[in-house]
Amino acid sequence: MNTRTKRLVIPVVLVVAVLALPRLVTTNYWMDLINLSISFAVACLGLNIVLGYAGQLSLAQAAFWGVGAYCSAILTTQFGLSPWASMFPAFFVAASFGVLLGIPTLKLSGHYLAMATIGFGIIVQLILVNAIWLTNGSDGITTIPSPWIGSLELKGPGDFFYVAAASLILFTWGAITLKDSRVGRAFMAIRENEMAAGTMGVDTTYYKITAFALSAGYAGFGGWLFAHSCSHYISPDTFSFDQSVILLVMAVLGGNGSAIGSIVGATLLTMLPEMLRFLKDSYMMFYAAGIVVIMIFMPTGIAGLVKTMPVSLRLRAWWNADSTAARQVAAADSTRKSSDAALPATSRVCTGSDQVLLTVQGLAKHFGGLKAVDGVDMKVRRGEIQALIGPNGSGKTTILNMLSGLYIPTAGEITLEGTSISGKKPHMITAHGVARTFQNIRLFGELSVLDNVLIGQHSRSKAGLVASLFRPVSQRAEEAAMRKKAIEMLEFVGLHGKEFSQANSLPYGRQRMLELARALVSDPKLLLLDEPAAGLNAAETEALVELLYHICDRGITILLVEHDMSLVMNVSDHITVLNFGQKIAEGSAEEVEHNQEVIDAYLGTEVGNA
Amino acid sequence: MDWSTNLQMVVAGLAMGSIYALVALGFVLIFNAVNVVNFAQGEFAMVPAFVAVWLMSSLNIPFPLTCVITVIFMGVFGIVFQRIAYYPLRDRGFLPVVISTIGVGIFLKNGAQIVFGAEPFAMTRPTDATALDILGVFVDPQYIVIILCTMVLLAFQHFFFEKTMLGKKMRATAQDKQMARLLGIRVAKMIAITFAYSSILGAAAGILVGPIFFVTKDMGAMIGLKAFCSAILGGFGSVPGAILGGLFLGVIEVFGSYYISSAYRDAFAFIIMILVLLLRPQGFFGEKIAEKA
Repeated sequence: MNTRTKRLVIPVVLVVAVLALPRLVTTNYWMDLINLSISFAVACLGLNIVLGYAGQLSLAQAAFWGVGAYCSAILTTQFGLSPWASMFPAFFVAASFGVLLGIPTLKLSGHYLAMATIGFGIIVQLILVNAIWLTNGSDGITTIPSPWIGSLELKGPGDFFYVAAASLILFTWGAITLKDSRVGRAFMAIRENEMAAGTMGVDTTYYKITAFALSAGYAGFGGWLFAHSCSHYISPDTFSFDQSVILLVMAVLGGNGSAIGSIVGATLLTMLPEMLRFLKDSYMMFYAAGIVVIMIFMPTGIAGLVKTMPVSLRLRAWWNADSTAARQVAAADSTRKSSDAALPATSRVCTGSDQVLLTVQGLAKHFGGLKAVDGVDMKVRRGEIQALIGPNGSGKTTILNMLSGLYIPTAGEITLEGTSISGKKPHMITAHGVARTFQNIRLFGELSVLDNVLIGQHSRSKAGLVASLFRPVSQRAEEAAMRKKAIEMLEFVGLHGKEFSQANSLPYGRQRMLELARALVSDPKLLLLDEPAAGLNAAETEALVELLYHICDRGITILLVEHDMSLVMNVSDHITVLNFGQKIAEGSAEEVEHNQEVIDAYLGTEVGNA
Repeated sequence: MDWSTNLQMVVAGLAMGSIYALVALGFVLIFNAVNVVNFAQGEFAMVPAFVAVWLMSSLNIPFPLTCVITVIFMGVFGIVFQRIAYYPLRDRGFLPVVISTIGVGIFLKNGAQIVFGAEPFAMTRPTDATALDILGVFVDPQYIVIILCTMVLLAFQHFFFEKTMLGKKMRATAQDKQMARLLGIRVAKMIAITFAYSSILGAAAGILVGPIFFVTKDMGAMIGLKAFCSAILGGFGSVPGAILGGLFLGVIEVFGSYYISSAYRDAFAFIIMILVLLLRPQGFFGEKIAEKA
């Protein structure tokens, strides 16, 4: 089967299913339930974007669902707007509420975020109850109109179903498309490691708000579906905290991060209470007990279970066999096999220059009374390998953190090529041409090796939300170019053939190489390496030295923090020595090696240790 | 608007705040011990209220004995709770435990309705229903009982954690489980006791607040959420923070609903919490936690 026919399978199956379902399900009762599950499913898809993709917990999804429903209900009943037109305000008003929630919760995570979103949801519900002039209070809004097609009113659940199904397909397609795009990868980078995402060029603030807005927009549209189907009646008590919890459980049950899983979860949990009706009053109890049991025995949700089944593995392999990415990797493989010229083992050819790339003046960072870094001056010259050494706690990593924007300096100035970068946010500094690796590796562990390196190019690419969703030619060209560069870079660090492995499945030494590739692919002028040799064996360290030379040959300046002295003495053009947050020596390897103060700092002096 | 009305409101606020403080302490102790937020904490106050009402009205057990039985019941309840909602998920990160505690919360709410029926109960008051006239300030005596009982309980708790071996072992467990285990402390037991104690705090809150409101299945939800707000206000993880946060919130709520809007009474706690999270995320007493690079 060629790619084109393969790509036709899904649309054909979907069209057949949508046309067949109203004929198979004949009672209005069940058709209403199906429409209700679709409304929940769209809201869940949204939750899946903010929670599953971006890793931000939201317990206000029912509030956004309500905002969408109320927005459309008010516009259609009071202002006579057509339901077709009111679906847009339903989406966008809810999305702007999402921004409203996103802004105060940016800095929060975990239970703080959970609590803030709960509070937000409760406030929205209180407004729905009390702003009677607008929402009709707890009486709710009745007789919400159905959409019309020509002279046909889509009032019967069987008719409305086509609208609901079409929207569900559209929104699912959006969620799935988004996942494999620059924006989707930025979301997932934040989920996997927010700090690393920032230093890889992802504007975490912007993307978190975008995720909240998009998720709320989805919920708002779900609300539109709810308002114009089923009972054509809405009241505030539907949009409660409990409902938010149920939406959360639907998304988690379905499988955190899986769009199809969200739909399955939403459908199951909408139908389940109906099947538990025979339990009468106690059905909510069993429902709740079910939630706990699911959490205990199905941690990865339904999607997680299905994904590991051999059938689905084979299906996936078949589906992905000739994806664009796979073909690009295969093409790179074949050219390599024909030339088979790995990197020649050279000693370095690059030489440092006198041109200053980075200047640090009077840099200081105080944590309360602790002066981690206290007035350090240093220069890094273009094309050289400079090392920053010092005993534990001397402030080396703190300096790297300030250079990469993770810490805001207490005082001092950092200039890169004449532009001040001190105090700028990590993603802006990355855009200026500074990349880094971390002492304790910070990969996007659950993502593929290739995705990790693609995220590294975030600051060098520009597809936004709209382009990521609709994939115009420019976006596809950009993706292809990014993949090409990523594949080259993986080859450069010796990770070819591992493109589709999960990053945290790599052995330790290779994870370091991947982190290096991810940093290099952002085209840095200055590469900050925080203990790159830590945990590497002798052979791996030797390979690292080679690699450092090759990086240097590419015209990239390196600032290295390292404890392996033989490595430092071997590769560095210049060495800066810190102790207790201050610079105590500077110069070439020989100069530093024989500096009395340096020897004292490392070995201690008799006086100092007395 | 005179001073006696304001004073009256302060007393009412402190009483409600004491309830929040007790439940907030339950949150904080569990959080410190196992780094988990128990979203069923509000139900820890709802369940004992039902148990106490049932003991007193159906079995005609006198109030003091009812208290003893309820406290013992809740102690056992806490241990069973942690066995089900926390223990199987202890190594699984944040989200699963949040969802499982929410699940148990919904279970308890609906369970209470099935066991005790949907009708709200009025709990027998241990105090006189007529307001006390203290220098022209009219105060419900139950408010005084709430405030005094909370103070006694907090004093006892302070003594327990500072002076007794068991209290010290529990604190050691909260600080560093691995080290505590190496020193021979039975960590799992300490965690179970922490849950039991936090559930007993809920028992106190439930019995104390019962006579003011009707006892219903939904009484715990708002108390739980507001107690959580209190804990965040005070700085999550801080014991004095939870107490002061609770009292502060109780007073603010009463004044807010009197002077601003009673319809939005339930919103004040959350608005203040969101503001505090924005301006001072570590709360009044919390320490700033920064991730290390």
